[in-house]
Amino acid sequence: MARRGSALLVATAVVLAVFGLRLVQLQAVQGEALASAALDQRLRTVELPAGRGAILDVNGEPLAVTVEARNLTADQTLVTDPAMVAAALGPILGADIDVLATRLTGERRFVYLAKGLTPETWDRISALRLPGIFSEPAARRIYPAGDLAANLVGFVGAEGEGLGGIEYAYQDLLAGTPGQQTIERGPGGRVIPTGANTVTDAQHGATIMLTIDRDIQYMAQQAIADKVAESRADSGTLIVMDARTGRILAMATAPTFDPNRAASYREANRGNRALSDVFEPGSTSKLMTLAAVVNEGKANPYSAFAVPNGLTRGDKEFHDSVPHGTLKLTLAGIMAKSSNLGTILASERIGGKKLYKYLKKFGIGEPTGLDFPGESTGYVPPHSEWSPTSFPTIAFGQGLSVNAVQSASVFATIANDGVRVEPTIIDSVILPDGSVQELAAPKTTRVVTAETARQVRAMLETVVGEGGTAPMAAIPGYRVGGKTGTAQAYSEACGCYDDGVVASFIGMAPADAPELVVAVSIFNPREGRYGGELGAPVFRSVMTYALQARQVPPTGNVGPTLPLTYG
Amino acid sequence: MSAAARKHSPVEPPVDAAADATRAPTEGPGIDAVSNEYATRGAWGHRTSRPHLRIASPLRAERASRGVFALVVTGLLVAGMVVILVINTSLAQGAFTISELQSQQAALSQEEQALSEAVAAAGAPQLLEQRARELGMVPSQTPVFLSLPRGKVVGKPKAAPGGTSAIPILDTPADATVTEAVDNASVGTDLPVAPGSDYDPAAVDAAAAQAAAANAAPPTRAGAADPAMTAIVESARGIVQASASSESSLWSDSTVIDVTSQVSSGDAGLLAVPVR
Repeated sequence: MARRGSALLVATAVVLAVFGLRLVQLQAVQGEALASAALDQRLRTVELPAGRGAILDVNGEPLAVTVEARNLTADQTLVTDPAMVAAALGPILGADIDVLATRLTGERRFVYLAKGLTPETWDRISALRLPGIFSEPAARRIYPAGDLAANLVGFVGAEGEGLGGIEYAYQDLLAGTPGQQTIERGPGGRVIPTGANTVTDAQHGATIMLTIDRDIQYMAQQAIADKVAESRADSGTLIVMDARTGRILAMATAPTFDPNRAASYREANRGNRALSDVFEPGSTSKLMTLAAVVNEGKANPYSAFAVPNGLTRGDKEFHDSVPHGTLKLTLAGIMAKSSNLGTILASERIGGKKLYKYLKKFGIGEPTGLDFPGESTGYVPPHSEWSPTSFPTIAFGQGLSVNAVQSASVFATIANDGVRVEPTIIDSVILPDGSVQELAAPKTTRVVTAETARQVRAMLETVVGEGGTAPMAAIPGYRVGGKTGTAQAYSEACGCYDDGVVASFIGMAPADAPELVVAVSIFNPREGRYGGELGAPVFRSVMTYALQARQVPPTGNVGPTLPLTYG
Repeated sequence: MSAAARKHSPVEPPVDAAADATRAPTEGPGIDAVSNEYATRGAWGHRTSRPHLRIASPLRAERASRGVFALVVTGLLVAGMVVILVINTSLAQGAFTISELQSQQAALSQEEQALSEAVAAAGAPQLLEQRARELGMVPSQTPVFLSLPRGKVVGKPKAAPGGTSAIPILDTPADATVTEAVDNASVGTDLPVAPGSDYDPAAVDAAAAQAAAANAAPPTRAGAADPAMTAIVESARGIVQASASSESSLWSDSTVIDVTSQVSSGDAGLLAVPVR
């Protein structure tokens, strides 16, 4: 009896010892590891997406906003009848049923079926109560105004990352930083109320307000698109700029694209031609040459030039676009008639070195300061590399290249009494806490004197007047100044100047107190050729609207009547 | 059995002793009769001399306190469970409320999103232009401004080409009385106007001045430029304020005729009058 008792005692002791050891093992030795493994099983870390900032026009109208959306996911092991589920989803998603069925077949617990569905679409799908079909919250970038300012605003990729335009250039600012939430969940997925819950808030992205005015942008875009189609041109750009501040009110390109469906458009049409495409400015460049001559005091609008039919410089003979006898033109007449030879004669009064200096001061071959992706700065060869034919060629606008914003900025400089204000496209940045971050004032440079600018503007008015190259640019009641350009386009394909031209018109109004500059460029038109016939009417309709939209009344002054000829 | 008897034996004598002790003082003479019996228990006999000492039954006391203890513990247990249940229930209730409110919030923000998308779509320039053209409107080719406070027309008003006159949306206040002109001017968006053949600049001037006053834009600035106008503006303001209680006051806030700058004025923007 005693033996049985002690045996029991021993057995109990052994069992208890085993328990004890196991306890020590679980609690002391593996304790931490096991506890954290258990916690891991219950903890779920959820990313809290940061809201992408909006892109607004100058009046706060949305150009790009982020809205709620759903990503459609599937658990393949729960989908018992892929064909049936695919047939049900196909029509709603507008997707191929066979592709969907393949996507639904297999052993994977998590696959994406579609991304960026509208909440309404998800409601329709969830009403079908399909087994194994789930959704996760996501964000969708929409462009409520469609193709409006699309080439400037840009577009985003499948993951919502900026791929073009402002969306790309300011990706970090717009995107913000995602946050994290770690919560403890029970087996059913329900949050354990007393469990761990740590939240790192998402830093939402900032909103960017552009200087673009949606209404002017719309009119500009319509006008350039219509003209490009009508003239069967390759493309066109149009820029409306505030002459005093360098703020860009509209930047339109044609053809354009709809950023809501960016992937279905050609890459060339998704870029911003106004900044990425450079061209030889042609006659619009004469503005710089003649302004330099006036500013150096070597001529005034009344100065007389006897312009022959041809001029030989270096190994080349230069001509005007139409043959003529010796013309007796004033400097104003050279501008109004856009005489190549007259410009060469005038430029020779200051020399190539000075001309080069002025071109650089006007911002040719320099970045515009917009910091835009894909911007190309254009090019003017350094004066030391000029050949004997370079000087006359560059004087009338060939042999150097500019982008559309640069050429608009040149005219804005003359409009702003000779002070060049670096163009701006961003009005302000609105941080998520609502504070507004103004941007640094744009750089300003004096290029020519106010008096020079005034005289050049008077000459620009003759272009639009009777006997000028662009009477079609005139707006009744307003004083308008501008310059046509019909430049030969260098063809990459043949490495030569083929038949292609860039027809342009850049002008300002009111000419005696300019408020607005509009620059129109049409690339390689097939119906029509000259800046005066293609660019000027577009200028006129856009400028007319912009003057009304900006409430710029006519000054009521009568323009000067500069003589175009003498003797 | 013997063990049990042993166990009880020390207990029994005090019981007897206590009985004896109560008896003892009254039994003086009979002491010998029992002396033999007590001789063997001298020690006990000696103790009996303390009269009031009693020992409470330990058994009964233990039983009572155990019962209370069990009750208390059970009570605490039940109470604790009830409290935990209540806490859990309220937490779960809270969780349910949260998820319910969250789904409500999601539904509402979806609705808000859908509505603001609809507003954005309806306000897009493309649609506005299309709707305006459906109303027979065309873009103005000749910007015209009404300069306040002089009422000078800046620019040359001309009917825009290509319009249809199906619906006369904007009418020239040609035969309008001053009051009507005020109303038109208060609506404020029908500038620039294309004057009719019997265009009366005076009526337009008065209307414009009144509209200016109705706008509560600083009239002093405009008036300072032309003291004679101040009186007109002041009187016009009286008229307009009188009519402000009427229906036209609904419009006065939205009127945009800029008198802060000397020459500019509101204009119809994109669209001008239909051609007649």
